[in-house]
Amino acid sequence: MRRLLLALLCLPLLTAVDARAQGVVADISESVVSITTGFQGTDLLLFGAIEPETDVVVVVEGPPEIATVRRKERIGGIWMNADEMSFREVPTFYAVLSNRPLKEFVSEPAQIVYNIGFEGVPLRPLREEGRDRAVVQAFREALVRGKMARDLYRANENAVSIMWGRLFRTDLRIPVNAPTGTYWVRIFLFRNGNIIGAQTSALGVGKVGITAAIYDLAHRHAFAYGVLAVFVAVMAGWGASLAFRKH
Amino acid sequence: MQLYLPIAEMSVNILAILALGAGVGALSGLFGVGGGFLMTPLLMFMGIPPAVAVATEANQIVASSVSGVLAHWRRGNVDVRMGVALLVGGVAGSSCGVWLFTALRALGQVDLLIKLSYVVFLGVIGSLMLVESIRALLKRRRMVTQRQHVHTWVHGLPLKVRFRRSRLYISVIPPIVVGFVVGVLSAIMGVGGGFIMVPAMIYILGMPTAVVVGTSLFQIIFVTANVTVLQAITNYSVDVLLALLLLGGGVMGAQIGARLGSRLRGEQLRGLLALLVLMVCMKLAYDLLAQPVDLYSLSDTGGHP
Repeated sequence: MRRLLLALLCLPLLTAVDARAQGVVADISESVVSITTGFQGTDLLLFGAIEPETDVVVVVEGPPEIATVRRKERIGGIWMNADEMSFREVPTFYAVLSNRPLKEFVSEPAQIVYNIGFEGVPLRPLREEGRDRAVVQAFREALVRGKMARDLYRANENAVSIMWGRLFRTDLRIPVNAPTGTYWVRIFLFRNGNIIGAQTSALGVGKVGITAAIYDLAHRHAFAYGVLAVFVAVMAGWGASLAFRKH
Repeated sequence: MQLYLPIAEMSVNILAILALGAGVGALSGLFGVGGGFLMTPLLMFMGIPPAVAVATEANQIVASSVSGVLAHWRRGNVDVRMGVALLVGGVAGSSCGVWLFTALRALGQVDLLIKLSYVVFLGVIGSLMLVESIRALLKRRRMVTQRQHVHTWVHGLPLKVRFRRSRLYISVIPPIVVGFVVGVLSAIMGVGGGFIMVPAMIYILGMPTAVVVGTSLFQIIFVTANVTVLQAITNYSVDVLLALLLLGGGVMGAQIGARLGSRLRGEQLRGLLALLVLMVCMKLAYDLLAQPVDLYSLSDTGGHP
């Protein structure tokens, strides 16, 4: 509710920014990340020109998902999952990179309106009714913690370097377990705590080649894939047996 | 050398997976066990999601059982009729097992189910093997007179069928029940189930030992094939690339194991295998009993809105 109000209050600000979103010109070293069988994650370079005396924030968001967090409890001496909470529209990937600590130049309302920083991501439970606010908060923190442990969420407050006051660059690490889909890369330019420019670009992350072929078959034609897997196994087993016999 | 697995969605070291396949394959060659009961937990320790480990291992067992059964087939040690009776139960049991697996996965309890099953079975089998090998070491060369045709309650049941190869005339109900129970375990644990099937065939059904392994392997092919297809349809968790890698290692390992087996002393080796099984069991038990560092965990089965 509070977020909604803030969003409404800031709506004029948002349109104002879009109208003069020219303070920054940026590009990414690659617009498509291909997951092949040799994929081990990749480093992308984000670079561009900015207005002088500004601060830069880069926010990268992966496609949304429903994420479930579970809490273990000791039941009969065994630690097992006892409670769970699902969150909707959770970015599968989220990175916020800046040239100095966000708190120094981004106000809290701006963080929320523009979804900048972990505090700015509206991680809302699917079903909130009857849940204690502290419990929801604990699950929310666990979600961010879990994503960070998987290298999928990241905040780095000195990852953006600014050169000669006019150029910026930052490395964006796409980890090996990066979910596939469209990633939105948003670059914000701040001066004296106000947004003076922004740019949004899309980044595609997708499986290609044999990796994509196997994944697509497994998900789109699951039965055929299962039968094929059995067939491959039978042939491999038969082949191995023949090899055995010759020796 | 790293390889990205399309279904597990993670990058693994090819050599590590080949070595794992070879290691477990060598044990299979040495002891004539399937190795699934070691492979699946070891894959989980390597960070492969439990659901993928179980389903993929079922797929690999199809291959290792095919290559295993052919040798037994040539020697005429497969009782097809008994195998069919077992696999009628096995297909039903493994289908139930996959259904249970899928239902518990939605509840977030499948990891617990897999690990608990492993702790129980590895604990029991490891202990039995250890006791057996210690006893064998103490009393070597003591001849045990083998009794033929032990009459038990099994022989009083109706629907009797003649199993010629096994030289048995018994009810089909016990084989179907044995097949069912092993089928459920096969689906949940990603094993062939030979380690339960073989003793059950000898002690419950009273089959002659010569046909036991071949017949067990024969029905395992179909049960694990059923598990593979059902897991592929319901959980999308069969990773063919991982299965092929494990298989490659397994083929090499089985050769090494068979050669080593002729040179080493059986009882001591069996004792070592028992210790290995118990170690894996204790690691899994410790994970369930010790307080986790973080009580919260993020589910790996993400859904798209």
